[in-house]
Amino acid sequence: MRRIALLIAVILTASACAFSGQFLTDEEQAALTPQSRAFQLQGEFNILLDAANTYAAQPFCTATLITGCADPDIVVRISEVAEASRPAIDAAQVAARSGAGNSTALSAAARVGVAQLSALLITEGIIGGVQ
Amino acid sequence: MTPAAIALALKLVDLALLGVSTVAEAKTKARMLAEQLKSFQGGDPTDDDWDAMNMATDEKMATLRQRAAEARAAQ
Repeated sequence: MRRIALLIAVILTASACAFSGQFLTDEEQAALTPQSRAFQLQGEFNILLDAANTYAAQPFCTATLITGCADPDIVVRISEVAEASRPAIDAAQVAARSGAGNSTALSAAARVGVAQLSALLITEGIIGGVQ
Repeated sequence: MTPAAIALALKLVDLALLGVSTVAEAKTKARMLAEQLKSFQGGDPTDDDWDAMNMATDEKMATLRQRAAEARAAQ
């Protein structure tokens, strides 16, 4: 069930516009250069990392501490997803800054990584959905 | 209501509260990011912009990595 929820969240997040995009008009979003779009993507990744770190900074849950705490398993999973996403984000930045022809494809790959982190945070209730 | 059900309800309320606060914070940061993107006025971020962005990512990743190591030890 959780896998299905995660899959749905990934699809929804990946297909939705960038969440910083809600503060940009369609024209402003469309006018962003490939490099600015890579910058936007990494900025959003950083925002998700902040949310992850806010959760992870809580004391770990125990048999007696069940609220106001972080589940160690979830913290590890978030870290693994973030680590897995980072290379694609770096590659998108390098491609965009060098004007490489494949920067659009690399940005799309990086967006999937950001979407996976976002979906995990949403699925675990750490962030209430930032679309 | 069983103790387990009460514990689950408390956990759900706890997560909902955390979700509300983090989403508010995320929206504020998303708005700031959007303002920064607008300031580029159709141009590219400067090297300084990228340096600040990369430094922020590195710091946040390091914080998460450290906490994940502690979490593994606590598992």
